[in-house]
Amino acid sequence: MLTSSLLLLLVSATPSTRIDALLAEVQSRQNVAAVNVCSDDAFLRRVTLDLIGRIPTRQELHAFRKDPNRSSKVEQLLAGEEFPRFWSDVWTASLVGYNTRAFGASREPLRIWIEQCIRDGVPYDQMVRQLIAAEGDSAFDGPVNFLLRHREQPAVKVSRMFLGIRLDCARCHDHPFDRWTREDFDQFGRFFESVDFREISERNVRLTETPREAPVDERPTFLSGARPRTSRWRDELALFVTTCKPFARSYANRMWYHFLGRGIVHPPDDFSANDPVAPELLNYLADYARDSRFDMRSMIVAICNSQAYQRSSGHAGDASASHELFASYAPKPLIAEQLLRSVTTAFERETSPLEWRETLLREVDTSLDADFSQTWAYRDTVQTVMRRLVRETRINESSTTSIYETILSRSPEDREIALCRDRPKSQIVFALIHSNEFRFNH
Amino acid sequence: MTDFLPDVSWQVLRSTMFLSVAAVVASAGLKLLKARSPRTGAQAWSMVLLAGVLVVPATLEIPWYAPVPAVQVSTDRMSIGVVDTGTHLLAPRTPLPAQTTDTLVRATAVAAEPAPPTMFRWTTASSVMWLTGMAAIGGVALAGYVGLLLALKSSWQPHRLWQREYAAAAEQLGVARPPKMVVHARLGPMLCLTPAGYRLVIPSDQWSQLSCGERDVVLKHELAHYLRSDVWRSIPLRLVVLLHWFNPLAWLAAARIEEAAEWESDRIALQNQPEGTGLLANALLKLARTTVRSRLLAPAARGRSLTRRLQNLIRETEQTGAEPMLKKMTIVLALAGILVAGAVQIRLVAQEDEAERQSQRSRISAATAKEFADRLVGDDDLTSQLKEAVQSEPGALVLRDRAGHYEEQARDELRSNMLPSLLEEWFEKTAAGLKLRSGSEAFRAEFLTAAEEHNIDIEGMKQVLRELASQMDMDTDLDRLVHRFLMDDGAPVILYASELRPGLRPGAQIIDRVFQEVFALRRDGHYEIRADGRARAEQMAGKFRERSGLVELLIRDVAELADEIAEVDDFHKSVKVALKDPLLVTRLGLELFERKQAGRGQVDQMVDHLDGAFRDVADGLVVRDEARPDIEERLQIRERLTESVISLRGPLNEFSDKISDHDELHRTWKQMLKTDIMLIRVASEMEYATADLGDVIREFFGRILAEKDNGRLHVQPPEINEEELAEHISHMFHQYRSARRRGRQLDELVDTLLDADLKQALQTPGGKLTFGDHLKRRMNAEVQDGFAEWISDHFEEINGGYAIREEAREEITEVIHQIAEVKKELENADF
Repeated sequence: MLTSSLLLLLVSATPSTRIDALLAEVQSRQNVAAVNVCSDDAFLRRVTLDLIGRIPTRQELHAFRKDPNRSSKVEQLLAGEEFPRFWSDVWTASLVGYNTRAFGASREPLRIWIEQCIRDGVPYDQMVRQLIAAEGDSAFDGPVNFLLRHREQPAVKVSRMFLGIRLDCARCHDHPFDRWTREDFDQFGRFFESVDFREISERNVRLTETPREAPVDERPTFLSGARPRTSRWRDELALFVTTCKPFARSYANRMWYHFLGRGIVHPPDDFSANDPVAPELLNYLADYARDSRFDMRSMIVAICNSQAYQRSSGHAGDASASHELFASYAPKPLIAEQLLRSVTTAFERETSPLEWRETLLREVDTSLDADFSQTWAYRDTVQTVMRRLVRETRINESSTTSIYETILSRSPEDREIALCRDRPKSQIVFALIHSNEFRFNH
Repeated sequence: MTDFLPDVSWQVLRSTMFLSVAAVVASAGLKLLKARSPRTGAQAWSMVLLAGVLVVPATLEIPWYAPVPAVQVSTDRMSIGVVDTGTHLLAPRTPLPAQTTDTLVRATAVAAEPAPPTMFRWTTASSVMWLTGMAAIGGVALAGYVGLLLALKSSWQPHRLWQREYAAAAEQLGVARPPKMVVHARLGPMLCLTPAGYRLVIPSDQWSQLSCGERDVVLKHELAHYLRSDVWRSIPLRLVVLLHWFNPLAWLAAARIEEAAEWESDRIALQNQPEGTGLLANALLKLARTTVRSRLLAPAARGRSLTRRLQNLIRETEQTGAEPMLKKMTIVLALAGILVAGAVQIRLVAQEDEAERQSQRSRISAATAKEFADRLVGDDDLTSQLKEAVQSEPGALVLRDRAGHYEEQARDELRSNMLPSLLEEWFEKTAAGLKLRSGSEAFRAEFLTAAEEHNIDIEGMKQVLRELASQMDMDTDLDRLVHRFLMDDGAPVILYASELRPGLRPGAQIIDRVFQEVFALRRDGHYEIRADGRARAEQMAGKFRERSGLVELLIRDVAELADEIAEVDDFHKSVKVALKDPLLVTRLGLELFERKQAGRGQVDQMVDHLDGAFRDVADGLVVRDEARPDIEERLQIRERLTESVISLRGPLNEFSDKISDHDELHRTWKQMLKTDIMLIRVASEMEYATADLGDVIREFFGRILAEKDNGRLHVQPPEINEEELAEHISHMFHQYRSARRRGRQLDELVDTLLDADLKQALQTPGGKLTFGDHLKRRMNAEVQDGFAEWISDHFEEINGGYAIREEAREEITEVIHQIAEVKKELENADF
């Protein structure tokens, strides 16, 4: 007998509704009830943070309240200038982390390249091929920095990041419970053995590759058993990686993870050790990714327009079960980039990352000018920065409602208004900016 | 905002220049060609004002300058001939010279800078004046209009006779819905546009003094303006004049256009009414005698304008036929030429670097493969199969692979043929031998200088190495090996080429270090702003612009002070000369601006402080006793600075020449780097660097040679094992022997050189090293397009398409098969 969800599945047209239908099926099987969708204010805050990395401004909040069309809002955010910039930060952090200099790599050329790719609508699989098969100079060719950052063990990063497969243990031994062996690891690593890094000047490293000739049976083997058929092994590896199904599943899972705070397979880079909580959903999203030719925007629209994404973060009953099955939205802390952008938005400052860094340096650096005893001043100084920002912001002159809308993107409740009544505005601002509600995406 | 203004005002100035030229041409053209028609005049003057509208010209870049030549940099690994000397002698990743300068050179950390202050700039001031003028004139015009609207409130309806006259005039002109006519005590006759619609205003007293006929023709004149929409047309006119309010020719152009509008309205009013000319003239004269404010009067009804208008009225009655087309076109074409010149801003840029462009071509993507497939011609199966096969990622991959093989082959050929090819470029073969080609004098001078410098360094190194060798005890095999190395003729050459050259000539190295946050070296030898350095580059350029103005002020003020110094003794003479030296003052200024926020206040403070170091005597200023040590220190700084500047100017100019030219920021930096400010900035880093040969070498060998108790040296490598060190030295010997063998090919060619100096230089290690630099530069610059070569070998070009050559069918079949194999490997897509 077909359930109503399955019927919905059969007749529904949009990816979002199919996502919901598949999830409903899983939730029904596990006896977990999904909560309602969140309020418009909450949705706006959530989707703005996820797509452009900051809280909405008061003006944006009021505009959305007048016309709370959620799918249009998603489209609008995707079409804006901030979307490529923020998402380039997100991908860069995933690909190379933050401390690249210690490895001779540079983050910014990679980030700029990713931003341009997103702006130009370059499909994700093409981007990944360029990352794996990168050549050129790290100061100018962004993708080179990915392999440069991971030049010691590129196979580990490539398999984790793009296939969701952890080969870490297989570096040293054959794990008793893992299908991937040391031989698999070695073979994967061989694809990179012809890569040469040469430092041509300070912080500029050239990546070149010598085409390899070898009989077919002496060539490296990919995890699928495929072997390269040309002398450009890395190029072929890039093709093998981006055309296999695990790639599509890993991509879909990673996108899901970014928006929902939890992967369908969780953690998202270890498919071997963790089963998907909703296998049909994962397969559907993987197929959708391939059908849409790995267009990031399509996947984002599908996820953001789903009820799963729009669920309220409040729940009844077992929180972990509810979150695991996406029956309610799991709050997630803001990442560094979101926090930075949100603070500057709340304080209505236009601050470029360079200026922000220099502001901090100026504040902090002078406190370390003198001797060791001054070091404790560092902790005060960071707080001093925040206090000064609070003091200087114009929102101190606003009403309590304005302050709440600016910082938390919602109106205050009556009891909150009563609590704030006799308090100096700067105190309210300070309290809200340090609150969990501000620092989490919920 | 203040950064934006100078750019806009510059463009306005540019367009006003074109406006002025067009105005002169229009005026002269209309006069010389005796163009009488108001329409011709209106067209000509409209084009003049159009020139004033072209504030944002389109930029047309014309490749003009030679592309920046690929020049090797000293931080790259050097080799003699084509030999790469390989890894370091010592373990650390970074070469000793870099570390040497690390310890000796002040760190180049860029301190956080406060926001740039406001300072006076004439460009900003004139922009502000321009905006103020616009605002003032616009304000006056707006006030006038508001005044007119307020005044119109006290107007009243005309009596029936006048209304009938008006209706008749409108009917005769074919105006179906004429504007409302109102009477005013002082205003008119005029047509004006109010928020409630058009109004035709007539002055009450003056109107009754005109005859019926005169009133009729004046009404028709105003209705003609209404028919022509002259009120609306005047708005863009006035806006352009507002933009160019400071240019009297803009006002003239506007006046001429409005005059032409008046004349044209006169013509319309008088059509089918030849006797109306006199009536209109009389009316004009009557109204001109009054003080009535009238649009009729405003542009062409007083003074010379009225005279011209009356003359035109008379001319109109005498003139038969339209203005000859030839006259009109001559003027229009002349003005059109000026407009085009104003609309396009030509920028001469460096020619595109062919090598870089070629390197782009060889990166074959799926899109490239598709383009290639689209160009395949032929009906046969093989062509169809190839077409289908290559249009995929596996297809692009296989094509890349083919191209890669060609490129590898080409590089090998290049390596073996580079030497004769380079010599051929510089020299021509004559019966007597190789003669330097004409036009190569600059190259010759540069080559000889570089070779001489290298030889001096190498010879100096040789002496230091032998001195070290003489201090060694030879207790172990390793000691003896190192000793042998130190005594070998090849050692200074190898060490200089591979390790120590940057340390001995710290200038170029320091430049790299100072600007490493901003620039990185590209494959073709150009420097380009790093992807992650752009924000820093813009910030530094901004600071430079701000500080250069302040430095100019400081130089001027300090020089003024220096002029008053009494030359009572040699010390005071030196002080005077020093304070008039722009380099020293720049240095002091930059130091000040690093510590404190740059501003005019700091300049004044510094000059005041300097002034305070002197006291006034009968002959002028003398240094106070207590200030003498400080002044003496400044003199020493100047001395050191002068030495640094001498050694840095060349490398800094060379660095600037190597910078890519492809956008405004790069071009700005190219200019910045040639200024004294940048020179001083870099020179200030040099004060802590040592260029002493002996120190550099001793420090280099200090890592493997240790002093024993008896004061003698022996090998004691702390970080690497002895086997590796021995292997490394052996490798270096091998490199030198290999280079020496290959260098013989060069020696044979050098023997035939006719230029004695070049011949002699090329026989020395320094000369060979310099030649090797050129070889390497050329190799890096040559980029083979493997794909183009592969296509050329396997396809015939027919009518812009590619047809498979008969002899290439087998290879193409292999390509198709290989693509299929790659696709097959991709089938196993799930695991």
